[in-house]
Amino acid sequence: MSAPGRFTRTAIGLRAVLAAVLAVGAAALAVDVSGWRYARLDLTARQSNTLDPATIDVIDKLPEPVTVDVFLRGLKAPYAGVCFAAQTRLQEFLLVVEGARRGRIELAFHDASDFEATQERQRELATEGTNKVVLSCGARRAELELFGELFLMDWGNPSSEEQVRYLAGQGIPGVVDPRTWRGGTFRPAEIAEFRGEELFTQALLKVSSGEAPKAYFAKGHGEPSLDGIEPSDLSRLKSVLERDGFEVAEWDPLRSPSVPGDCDVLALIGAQQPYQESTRTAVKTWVEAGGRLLGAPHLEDVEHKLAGSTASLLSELGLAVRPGVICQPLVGLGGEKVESDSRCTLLWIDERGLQPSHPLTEPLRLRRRRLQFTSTPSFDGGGYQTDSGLVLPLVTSPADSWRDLAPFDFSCNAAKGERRERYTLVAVKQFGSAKAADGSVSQGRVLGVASAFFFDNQSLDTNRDFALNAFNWLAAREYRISVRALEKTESYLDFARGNAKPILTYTLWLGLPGLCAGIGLLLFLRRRN
Amino acid sequence: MKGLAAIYRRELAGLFLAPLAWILLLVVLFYQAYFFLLVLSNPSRGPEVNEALSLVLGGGYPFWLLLLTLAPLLTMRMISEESRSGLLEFLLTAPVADGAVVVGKAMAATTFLALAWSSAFLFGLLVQFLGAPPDWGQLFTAWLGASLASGLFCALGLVSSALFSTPLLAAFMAILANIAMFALPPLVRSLHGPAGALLAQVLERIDVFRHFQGSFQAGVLDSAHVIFFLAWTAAALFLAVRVVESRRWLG
Repeated sequence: MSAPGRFTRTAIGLRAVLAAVLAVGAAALAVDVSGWRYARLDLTARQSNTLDPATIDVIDKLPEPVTVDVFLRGLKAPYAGVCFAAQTRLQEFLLVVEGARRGRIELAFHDASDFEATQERQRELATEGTNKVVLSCGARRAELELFGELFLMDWGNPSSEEQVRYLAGQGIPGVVDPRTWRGGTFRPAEIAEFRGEELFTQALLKVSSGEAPKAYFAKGHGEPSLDGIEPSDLSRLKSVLERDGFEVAEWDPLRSPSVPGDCDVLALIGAQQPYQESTRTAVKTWVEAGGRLLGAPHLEDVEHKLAGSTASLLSELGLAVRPGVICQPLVGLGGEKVESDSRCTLLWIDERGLQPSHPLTEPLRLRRRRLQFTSTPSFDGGGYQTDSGLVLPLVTSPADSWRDLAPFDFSCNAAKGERRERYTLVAVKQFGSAKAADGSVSQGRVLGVASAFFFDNQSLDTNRDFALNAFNWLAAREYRISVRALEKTESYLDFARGNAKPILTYTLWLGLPGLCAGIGLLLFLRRRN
Repeated sequence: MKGLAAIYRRELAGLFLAPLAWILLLVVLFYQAYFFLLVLSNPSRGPEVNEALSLVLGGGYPFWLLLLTLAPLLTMRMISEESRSGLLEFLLTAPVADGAVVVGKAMAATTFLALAWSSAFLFGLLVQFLGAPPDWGQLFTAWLGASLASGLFCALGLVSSALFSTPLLAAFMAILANIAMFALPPLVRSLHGPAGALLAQVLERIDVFRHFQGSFQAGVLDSAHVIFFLAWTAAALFLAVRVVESRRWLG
């Protein structure tokens, strides 16, 4: 065969180049097309990459893609490790979300070392700070903090004041307070719980829907302030509700006697003076017509049995509040039960006190969340049917609690023959369906919390989830409150016990390589022979 | 493809009957064992076996460093050396398709690497015996992803081997190409401006690590990610076949 000429060579070269371009184009096209319709199979033991159906449903119904901007920055030692673990877990979770429904969620990880670009994006999003996730859909935004929200942390005990100041300076909620730190042995920080999927789903709902339920708080009767920062105020509750997509407003019954028409949830929390007859009638009529009411009476109001107070209004609606403060024995240093101490009025309710199978309490019960009540009266116990609807106890005190009867003098002594039993601290009543003027059918709901202190700034750290669930349930947004946790399979070797470490080390360093070398040698010898 | 099985068997036998293959396997075993034990002895994390197994199967840079160099070393001689020795001409005149020659070689090299990565299953059995059962589903997907990625890099190595007549040069160029394919997408993502964004969007289509991390490493078998590796492997093999073919025409 003769050597090809220049033209033939060029033609062959061109054909090869063209083939290369076509091959690359076809591969790129195949990659693009594969993203349109695809199948996913989660092979992990605990289905760690499968989102809750509720989350999938929310993603499917997104009206347009949601952008998720992630701003992460590491912490200094000794918190670098736990911070890295949290950030890695978050990234894994976000990749699962992105992969679950391609094209619906767009992830953007921002490098903290690229200060200018990060700042520019944060200006666009009207946010600041790091270790946070910002979801945006059009003009709507939702923010999630890495620590305190997505991850519940146990910050341990720092070993020096410098570490305490460093942590406090990071602006992380719930870290060790420099004013209360008393030294002691160093205990490392650790992740207590990852709540990524639950909060992410809620944030998606917030940014994707124009829906913003309106919660009105009654004012003008000595209620705690919605903007005050005192421990007894409600500013933190307001902030938590707003971050969850609620629009929070005040209602002054003295100025406008009827409940506002756009009210989704009406909150009567901590009034110290009685409401007027017209106000009570307006509230009752509104609830019977399908309105949603949250009532939490002030202790004084219950003790003095004020006519027209929140407690009496709740009683008229079927939730009878009984005077007396519920107490619980303290556990002494030796494990013994201590009574006659004013601290007995501080109640810690664990999962045993939460009603199973109710959408408001079941998620909290499953996650072993605790609630905190301070100086609380109680409701009439047990579930019972009234003419207008069914009353259910949702939260009850421990079995060894008792009611310290009036006159309450902080003696907290059960010796006066007061019965030890479970007392109802939160009760709900659901009314029959009612037809509104616009033709829509709605079911009235009343949620009674026996103590207004339950929602104040001081207690909200502990009671935050219950408070959010309560407002969401009242606003008929139950779907927001039950998303299971996405768990990762972890399996640990026990190096401290037995001879696991030497077995592993010798097998990996000698056993397997030796086997490989032996087979290689055998083949070599056979081949030579 | 006519003769594919014969070529595959011949190449595989050639690989396993040469001492170099066993030396490479030994190196892989030591390398994997070192990083596996390193993760298990991390005091801040504790001896978590799934994380350690993930690291030796694509979850960390040590694995990719090994793969990006090992694949070209395995494939560097497959076409260039045979071309120099005249064996390739003999093969191409034999009654086998050009495609079968290239695909058979790529399959043999990929099988070798898949076997090397399967040492992770032995690690898994060992830790299961020691009382810490691994997540076998996740381990399997990671192994499958590592094998698919090996196929892609072996195919790129064959393109280089077909393009260059010196094995060492072929290996060097393949390593460069592999590093570019692996490292460019994350590097470009950090560029700013519209040009950077556009380039990042284009290079996202060849982002091996992202496709691996998003599914195989996490324990998910995702058809889109499987197609990603298969499509680019097919493209590289097609290219290698065209280069081999043009050699024949150019004489």
